[in-house]
Amino acid sequence: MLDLFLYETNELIDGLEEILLKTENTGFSEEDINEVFRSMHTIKGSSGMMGLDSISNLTHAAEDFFAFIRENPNVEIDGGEVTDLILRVVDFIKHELNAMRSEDYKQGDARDLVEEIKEYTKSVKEGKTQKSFKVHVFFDEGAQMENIRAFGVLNTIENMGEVASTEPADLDDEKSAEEIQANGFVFTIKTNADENRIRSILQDTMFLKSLQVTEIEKTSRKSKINLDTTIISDSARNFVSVEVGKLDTLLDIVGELVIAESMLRRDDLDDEYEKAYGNLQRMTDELQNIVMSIRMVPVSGVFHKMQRVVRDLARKTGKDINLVIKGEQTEVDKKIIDNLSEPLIHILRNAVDHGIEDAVTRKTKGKDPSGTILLEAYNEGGEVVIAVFDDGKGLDREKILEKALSLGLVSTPDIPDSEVFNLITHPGFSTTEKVTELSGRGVGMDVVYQEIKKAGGKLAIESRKDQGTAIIMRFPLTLAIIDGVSVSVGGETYIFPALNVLEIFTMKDATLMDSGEKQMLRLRDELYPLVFLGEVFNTEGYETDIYKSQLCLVSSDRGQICICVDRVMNKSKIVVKPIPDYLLSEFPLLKGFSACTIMGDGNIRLILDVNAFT
Amino acid sequence: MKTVLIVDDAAFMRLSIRKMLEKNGYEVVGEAENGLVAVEKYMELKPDIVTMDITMKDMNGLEALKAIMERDKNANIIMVSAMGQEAMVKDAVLSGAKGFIVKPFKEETLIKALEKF
Repeated sequence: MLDLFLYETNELIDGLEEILLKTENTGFSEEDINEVFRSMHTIKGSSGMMGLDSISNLTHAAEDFFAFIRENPNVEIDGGEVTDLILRVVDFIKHELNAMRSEDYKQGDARDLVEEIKEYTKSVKEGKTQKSFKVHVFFDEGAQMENIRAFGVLNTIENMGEVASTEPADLDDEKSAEEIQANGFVFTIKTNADENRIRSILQDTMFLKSLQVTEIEKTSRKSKINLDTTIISDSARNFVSVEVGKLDTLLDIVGELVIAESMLRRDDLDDEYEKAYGNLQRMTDELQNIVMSIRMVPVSGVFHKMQRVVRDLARKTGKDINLVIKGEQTEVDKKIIDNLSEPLIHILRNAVDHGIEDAVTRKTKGKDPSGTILLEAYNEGGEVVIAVFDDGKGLDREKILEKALSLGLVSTPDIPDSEVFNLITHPGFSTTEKVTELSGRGVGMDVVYQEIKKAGGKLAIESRKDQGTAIIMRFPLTLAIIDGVSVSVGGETYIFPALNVLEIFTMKDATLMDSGEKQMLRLRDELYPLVFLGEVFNTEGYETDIYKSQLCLVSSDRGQICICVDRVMNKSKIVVKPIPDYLLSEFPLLKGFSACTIMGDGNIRLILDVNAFT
Repeated sequence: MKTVLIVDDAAFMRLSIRKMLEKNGYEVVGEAENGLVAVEKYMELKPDIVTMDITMKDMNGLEALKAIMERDKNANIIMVSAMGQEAMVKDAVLSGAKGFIVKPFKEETLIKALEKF
């Protein structure tokens, strides 16, 4: 009962939030108003049934408001103000829904917010939506004590409305007098009065040199959200929600089935058997694809959450930031999605706090005063790429290097940019406050790195001074069943993830280059480092004659290398199983492997971690 | 012709202000050397404008301002302050002073301050 209420209400709340963030920029369409009204109405009803008075009262007040503007489409409302107010309703309900799970839950107090909504509704009904004005006052030269004069101005206008901010902010500071002398005194006021009324009241101010009163446009907002893809409305979908645990079990079973199928593979096939086996193979393939696709979720849910994050951060820092979202329909495994939010929030926070400069600095650099953050997802190869670009000040290569050298993370300053920027993911690098200020970034980047690694992903950082920073995450499409390339070395069989294998060749196509300490291989005018797999693992009886061996060109995080093996055997689907931790601590050599798998013949094989060789 | 009451404890200041005002077509109807006298004279003469020094013996300008405002809430009183008296001036603005000028001031400054009335 409670579960269903929580589930349903959460869905409605998510939908509401999405609408509100959209309308903040575009204003409320008739459809939006109806949608919000319906959601509020539904939550009011069900929370009332649950005896949750505070949520019920709150949604009732919100419902009344939307009912009024639904029936009076011509009434003027400030979209931003409404969004703010209703977002607070959403936040309250969210908080309550979370708290409800604990045993000693007590209802929160929403009375103030209810009152506020009622007040607002009243003011809209009376057609008295307040306007905001920016007032800029200059005093005559030699007027002196300009700060006290500014104070007098505020005193005169005080009972007309609410003064939101002043510039300079602190009039008691004697230095503010000089500032006003030079730049004038600026304040914003929210009032029912119109421009002329403000003018006439301030006109008589002693030593008034000039007076500017401008209305602040209602739509001018700190954070704008742009979506370049349309949001598919919920009603168009036909969904069943499934517990993730069941999907995990289903995936495990399919994994076992893939193994069982490979056990049935025979070389001496008669027609009858071949037909049956072919059928089985086709069906397991299909089953596997479907199970994998069930687990695939579009990133839109997580991306939309980030709109709110950026909006709040932008407001807090007072920066003007556009968040542009691209490719939100790109799908990734549910397991990856679950691990995506935290790192993304970290990265976005860094981008807003340390990456994007304030409007004044941006202007002096000749940039658009409002910053842009691009959050993008797309498929590339067998991977999903999720990237965050900002057009901020970029990372400071010199300062990062300086710190890394002093920490002993690197021994020479002569390393490529990509490696320098990757240093900020090193634990210990980003923990000290000082470095954060210096590098302009680095808050918890090691945490981000660990989270992404945990989800099976890779992280790359690119940056250019004053142009911005890109944080690029790559995740495999699926985590559980992959294509593997089996290779034999001595008496052993190892497996490369097929994704990593770019090419298989022999010495007929390549030449051996001996550069002294390191062996290199030349393949079509490119030089690659050469590694003998048998040598790395100390395998007995491996083929030492490279001219009798086969070679694999593999890609790793740090570039491409050639790996020499006795023979490349076949490519097949493998079910990835983690290597138990106790084995890892027992056998340090296992560090060259990322996981293991069970083969058709029942043998356990190790999957190579190509990054361990470079 | 607008009528003015000049309040200042220094005779030199009273004379300077009187000369500036008379030159610009104001009628100085009275002078007071402290707050007590100022309140008395204000009630008696009902001038259009008062220039009020702040630092004086026997009731300072701030107290006199408050006393006059209590008796006539439409009184036009301009404080004559010195640098460093920000807090007093602020109090005066809150208590109904129509404005203030800061010593030393030029003739045009004084006239500009008065011309709104």
